[in-house]
Amino acid sequence: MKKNYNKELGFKIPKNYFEESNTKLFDLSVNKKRNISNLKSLSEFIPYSIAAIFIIGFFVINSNQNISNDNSTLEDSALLYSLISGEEITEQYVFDYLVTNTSSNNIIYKK
Amino acid sequence: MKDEELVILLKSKELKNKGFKILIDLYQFKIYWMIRKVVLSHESANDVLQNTYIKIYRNIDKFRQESKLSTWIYRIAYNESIRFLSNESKIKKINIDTVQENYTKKLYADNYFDANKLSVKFHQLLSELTVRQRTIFNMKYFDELKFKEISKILEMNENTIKSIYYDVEKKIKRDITE
Repeated sequence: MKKNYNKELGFKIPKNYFEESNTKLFDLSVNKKRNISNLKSLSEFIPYSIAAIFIIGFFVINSNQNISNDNSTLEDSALLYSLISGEEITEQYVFDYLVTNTSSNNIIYKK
Repeated sequence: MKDEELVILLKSKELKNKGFKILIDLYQFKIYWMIRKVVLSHESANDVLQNTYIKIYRNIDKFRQESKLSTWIYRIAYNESIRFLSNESKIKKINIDTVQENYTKKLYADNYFDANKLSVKFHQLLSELTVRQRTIFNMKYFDELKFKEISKILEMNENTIKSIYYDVEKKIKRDITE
């Protein structure tokens, strides 16, 4: 490169331009790249996020269906019903429970 | 440091930033002046220099060492300069075989232009050249690049470049003394 040619061409630069732009150029190039790579890594998560939404959605819908298909109530279980009714489970209680809640065809009475 | 060693640093994940600092130190001055002679004003040259380094950092992995590192860097700087001129004139792709619009106007508008008698005369002659002729002249006369390297940067035939350069040189030598 010819020395002093900028004089011939009348080109000037700000004082300490090259010293100061050195760091600026580095920061600008490296940080700009880093921002882009951050976006890139975020974009890599998009397919996983969509898949996760589908999986969670599938389980939510399925469990709702299970809940709606299950018509049993707490009252169908002697043990659980005793908990909410506060009654003590005695032999008499179980017998009364079976008589009122179970079809007679299903019960085999011992003679 | 040799180009090959620098390329190894630049392509290494851990040492890329260290290599990039060295690359800035090595080429910043040369690239700036190459760009400045195309875009003319300091502010524009500063913008193009920044874009050039961003491109170098982002694309260093694509450098296949088919040419010298300097040639690859100069080519990016030249392409960025032409892209800047195209954006400036709002034309999609500037025709480098035409003279540059508002050449002297741009020079005089720049705070970092010292309009002495010699430089004004010189620029007057340069403004009459097409962008291609001026780039070839600047690269050979001022930047002292070899014809072979210029041909690689501009992706042109070496003999065509020689012929353009000698024609322009002859014209400038003749007219500058008038």
